[in-house]
Amino acid sequence: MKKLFGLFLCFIAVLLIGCSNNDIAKNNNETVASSPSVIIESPSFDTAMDEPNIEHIMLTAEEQEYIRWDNALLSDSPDTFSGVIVDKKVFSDDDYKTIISTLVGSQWTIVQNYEMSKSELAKLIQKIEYNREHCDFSKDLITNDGLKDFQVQEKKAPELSAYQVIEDITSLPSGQFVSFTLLTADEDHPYVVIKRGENDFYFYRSETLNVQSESFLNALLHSTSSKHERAFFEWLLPTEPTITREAAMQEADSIISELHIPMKVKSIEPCTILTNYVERTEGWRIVYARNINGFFDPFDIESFGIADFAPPQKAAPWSRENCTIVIDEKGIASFTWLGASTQSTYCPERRIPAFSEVQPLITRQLFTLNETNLVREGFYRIVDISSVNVAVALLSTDQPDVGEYIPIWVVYYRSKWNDDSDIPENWQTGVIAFSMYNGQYVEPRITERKLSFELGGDR
Amino acid sequence: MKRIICFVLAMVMALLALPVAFADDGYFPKDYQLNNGTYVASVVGGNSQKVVKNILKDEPNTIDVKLTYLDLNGQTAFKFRGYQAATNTVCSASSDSMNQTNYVYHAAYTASPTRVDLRMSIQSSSINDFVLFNGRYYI
Repeated sequence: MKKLFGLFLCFIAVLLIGCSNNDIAKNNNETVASSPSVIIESPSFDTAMDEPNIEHIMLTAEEQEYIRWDNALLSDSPDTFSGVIVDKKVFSDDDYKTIISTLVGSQWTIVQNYEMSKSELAKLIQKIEYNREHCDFSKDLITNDGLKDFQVQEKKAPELSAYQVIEDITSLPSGQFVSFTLLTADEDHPYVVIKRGENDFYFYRSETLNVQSESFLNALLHSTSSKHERAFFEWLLPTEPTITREAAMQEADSIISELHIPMKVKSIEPCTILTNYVERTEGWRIVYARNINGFFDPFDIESFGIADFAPPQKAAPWSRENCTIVIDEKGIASFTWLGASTQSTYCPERRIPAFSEVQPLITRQLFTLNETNLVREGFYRIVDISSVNVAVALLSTDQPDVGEYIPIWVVYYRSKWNDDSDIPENWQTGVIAFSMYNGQYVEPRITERKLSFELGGDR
Repeated sequence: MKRIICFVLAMVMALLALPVAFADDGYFPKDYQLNNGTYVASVVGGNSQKVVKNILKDEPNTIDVKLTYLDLNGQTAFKFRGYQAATNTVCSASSDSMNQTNYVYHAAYTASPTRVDLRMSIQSSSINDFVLFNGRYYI
């Protein structure tokens, strides 16, 4: 009996130790409002990546036949590169408060489980019903079932809005995503998502906010065959944002500066912002990212796949580092700061092998990834490379909470089954990254942790 | 007393052994019976179909799908996309065309709605064309 009880206590102790290691936030003395990151040259730092050791391989006839480089446009690449080492910037509770105050001002209260009052719901239903009469796409913004749900909710709603006040961020749980609403002087109730102990922050003017950028909508238009859906996406396309590009940039830049975010503008484009199922405004979507030796991370909103029979050699240490700000005439519609990092140091300069040295290895990896399996045994996919660009990506190192920005070849391609006819519908586009140091397949769009889980490891 | 402690210990061990999912996840609903009696999910040609709906969003950055069985039946462009629940408003990129098992397909979120509908489609506009599949989604 005593032995059993002792064993049980040991088990609980092990369990608790495991959990607390995940829950304890890294004690980072650098606050959001402190001095900006400083680039320090550190020639003696050992990078976690292997020195170039290109495997010289002989491609098979099939590899050469099915991976085609005839039309590939190759970017110029540097001969050498100094990668950048970054540490994970864990947001402290004070950091969260500083960010929130920068976005909404100093008067705000955190609440959870916000329940709309009868009058709030009545007002929303009235707007939706008005839209039904005046907007061709009101049923796309919210379906009849959605409206019915609100009508049912209104009958049971309290007279006054109900919520649970959270006295302080410190009382929210760590190690898991938590969301909360901010009560401010404005009518809008901003919605925030954080994970205490991590380096991601999400802010939206409203929980229902949906941003559709111009490029995203154009991609949607090409991907749907539904006549109604095409009409809806065309209606959503921004035509003329009600705030100038310059004014939007100024506001976004001031936030970046105030929060000492060490990033530069990577892209800016018009967008449409949908709020509360009825409101449609137009503004600008501005993406900031780290600029490493003149190069950015090339990715934004993409899709990709991970093959368990040919996984990438390296993945990201945490979320892809970027800051996306959406602004319209009402102000900040959304602000997301993901994968925050700090304390940059340069790695020793490394030779970049000529592309011709790594091309065979890249070819083989592309062939393996596109090789058929049980689904269409005996058939292959033809991969037609369109362009190869130079960019950077943040990848993991062998030190926890440390990442390295390295140069990558970004390969844009299209692929189809070898027995399919050569018509546009049969080709599928894709983009994939390889380390410029050694030609190995890397995937900065997934974290090592998630990759490990997908490959059957423990969380 | 011994039995209670053993039971609690067994429960703790069982909980530790369970793989922890990354997000609100589930298996695709099965609506088509194969000749061998197995049930699988299906998507037909035409407009995209709401395969799962009103799922609580838990994944921060992507919707993920892993297929364990796939019969493309000669069809192409078998894809998925997330929509804000109770709307026709897209909230994720369109996935790559799914043509293999042993792959996890990821589609980046473009918004952060509370609940998500997952819709799937194929290239064909004919309801007589279809694909069959099994697998898991992570929303």
